[in-house]
Amino acid sequence: MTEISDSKILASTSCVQDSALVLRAPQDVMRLEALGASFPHRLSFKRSLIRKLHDQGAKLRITDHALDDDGFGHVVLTIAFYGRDYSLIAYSRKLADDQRTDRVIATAWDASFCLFDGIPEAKDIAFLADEVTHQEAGIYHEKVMTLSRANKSVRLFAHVIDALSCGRQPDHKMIAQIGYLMRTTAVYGNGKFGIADRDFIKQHDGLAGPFRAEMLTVFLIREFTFYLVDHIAAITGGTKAATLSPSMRRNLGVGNSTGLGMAPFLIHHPNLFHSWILVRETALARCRTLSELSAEEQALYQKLYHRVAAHLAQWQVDDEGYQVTIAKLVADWASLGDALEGYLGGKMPCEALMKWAISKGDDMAALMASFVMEYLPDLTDGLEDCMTQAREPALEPKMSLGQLKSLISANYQWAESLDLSAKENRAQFWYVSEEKLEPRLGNAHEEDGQTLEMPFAMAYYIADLKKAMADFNDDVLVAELLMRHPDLRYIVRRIQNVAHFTYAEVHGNLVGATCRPIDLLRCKLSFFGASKFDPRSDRWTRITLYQGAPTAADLADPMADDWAFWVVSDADNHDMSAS
Amino acid sequence: MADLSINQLASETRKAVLGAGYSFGIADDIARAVQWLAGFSIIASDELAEFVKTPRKAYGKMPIMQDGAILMADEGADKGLDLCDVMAAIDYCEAYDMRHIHLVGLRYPMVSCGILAMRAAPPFGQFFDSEGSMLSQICRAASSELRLDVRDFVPDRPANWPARIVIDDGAYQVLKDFAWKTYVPSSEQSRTAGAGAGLNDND
Repeated sequence: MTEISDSKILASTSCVQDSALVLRAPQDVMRLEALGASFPHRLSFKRSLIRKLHDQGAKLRITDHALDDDGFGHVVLTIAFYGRDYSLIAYSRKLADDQRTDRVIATAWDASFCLFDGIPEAKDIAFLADEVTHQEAGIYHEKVMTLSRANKSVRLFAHVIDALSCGRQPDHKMIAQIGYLMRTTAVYGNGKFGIADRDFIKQHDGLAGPFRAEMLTVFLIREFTFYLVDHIAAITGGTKAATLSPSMRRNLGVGNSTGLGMAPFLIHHPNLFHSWILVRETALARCRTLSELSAEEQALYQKLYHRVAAHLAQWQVDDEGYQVTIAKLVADWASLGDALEGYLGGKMPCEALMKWAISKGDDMAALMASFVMEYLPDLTDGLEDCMTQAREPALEPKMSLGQLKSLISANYQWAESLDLSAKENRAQFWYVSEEKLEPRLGNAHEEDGQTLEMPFAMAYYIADLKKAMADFNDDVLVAELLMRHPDLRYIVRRIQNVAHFTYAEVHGNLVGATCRPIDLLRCKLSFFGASKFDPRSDRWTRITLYQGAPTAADLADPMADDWAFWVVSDADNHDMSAS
Repeated sequence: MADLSINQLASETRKAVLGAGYSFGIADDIARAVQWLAGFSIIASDELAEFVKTPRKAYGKMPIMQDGAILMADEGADKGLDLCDVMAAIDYCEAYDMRHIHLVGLRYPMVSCGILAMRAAPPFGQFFDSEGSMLSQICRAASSELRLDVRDFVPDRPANWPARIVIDDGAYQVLKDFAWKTYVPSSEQSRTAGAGAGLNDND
């Protein structure tokens, strides 16, 4: 592994200032394969939100409910956070099976949601009913902070209603297999379709973190799903009906279907992406410098080891390739068992474990990074406040072309080594379809529309730039080049930006035949805190959020944060051991 | 009138500029300028609409360096400095440590002002007029001629981010029409190749 100690990386955010640390090199961690192996960790957004909710003593209340006997109507769930009320308005509607699709092009859903700033009045709920249920086609105002929709997991939803209405708890094996009652198919924020801007939202205490309002929305959607099944079961089963037990609630998260739309975000927001990776790498590097673990910490890690093993065993997917990867992880993790005590009790335990993991490949390295960070909050917590990034990439017109060429050589080896004449390296193009503006990936050799592609062909833009630079001496300034070639502004700025924001760029060809969008999706989702990645193709995955997280009723639990690598069990308590 | 979030306006602007035939780097600069202006509730939608409707010039105008200043002037009746010219002028100003900039014949003064503002950063500094007014003040009544000095960087940001921006319906429709040109027409092949196509979601 090539490692770097580059004060520039650390200087790129005013928040992280530990220049003595040795971080993993972008050439290693920004490869598509490495990004695609990411696991959620204790600095993931849902984890940090749960800690904030716990710290704030957040309490949930139902401030309005109007569901009919079939569970259709609306419910308003309100939570106080940093002294301010936020409400999820949930609209539940009847949906025919032939309309139930997770795709962006859907026009109807089982449930539609918005996060409302405050407690909505009856007129707000009535006005938004026709807007929120039409999602992208609706008209919104700044009180609407996020917008989302979800479809039922038909099998599990029906099973849970059946069980509860008969006075039983649902089958925990089925819950382990599926993991959620509803899955969202989009969660929109940051001014989309006229809802509140992020710059406006981040003025609210507690909501400044990346995707904080979106994560709060999903947390409340999870609570809505519990409310909904309890309501329907009570109507159906009458006096014999049960409600979902606390442990069953804990076992259930919210599903999400994620398609191509998530990937472009990482390319369009390079400095934000850099901040996320920098924080993770800084946290990991701090852990790797730890000289030893206390006996108490060793015991925690021993217990976590078994929990990880059980968690991996419960991670079952249909995709054969992915299942092979999971099986290798399971086997490698098991092979660590006998040596673990020695690693944990030895010198530089995290460093030793990471070296072992890196020798096993990207997947184990990613898993181990999350593992070692889990019980060292003194080294990691607080860094999540550095995961925002206000500075946009800036052009440096004073730079000479010689310096620009040096930056290309230093940071884009992957692009320079690519055979640009090979058909397979320019095989795909990313675009937005006229059809409900669905993000899609086209075949460059068979489909029309490549002229409208998103700007992801970095290696080719660099080739264009180098061709243009060939007409100038190395001491000519970027300003002169751009005067004559204004269309190179985009790639010049990206290259210059990476000198300061080293993790801003993916080290891989996003338009090549071998590019798997799911690698980008998984990376982003891991920062959200998603687990149990369940790919449906190389451009589409289902995941679960908040499975194992404290429910609103559990937020005051002093162990509220201890739910990484959750294992579904049928125990009606919070025991997460590998039983 | 169209009642928009600021991100909605910036996003539509970026796409409209692309749809008008400009490249990503130029579209980004203009969208960021519009976002900055909107932060001060400065509405430049009519200028933007005019910009995207005007055919792109084949060649930019060369900045002139004169006595420590960048001078760019184009006073022809149908010409004037467009937004790419303004970008080039600022690039030269920064590249050659010029402390003054004099732009004459600006076709889109408000957006030009926003582009100037977006470049303000240490160590380059920030543009002020001779009376010491910051760009957020100058932009509101920007004229076709700007004569500015570069001084020390002082943050020029709105105290509070406004919740909304209201722009003329006609101008917004122009932006949407040009933004639409960036979308690829759907086909059966593209629909069936979309993420999630062919899957049964009733599971």
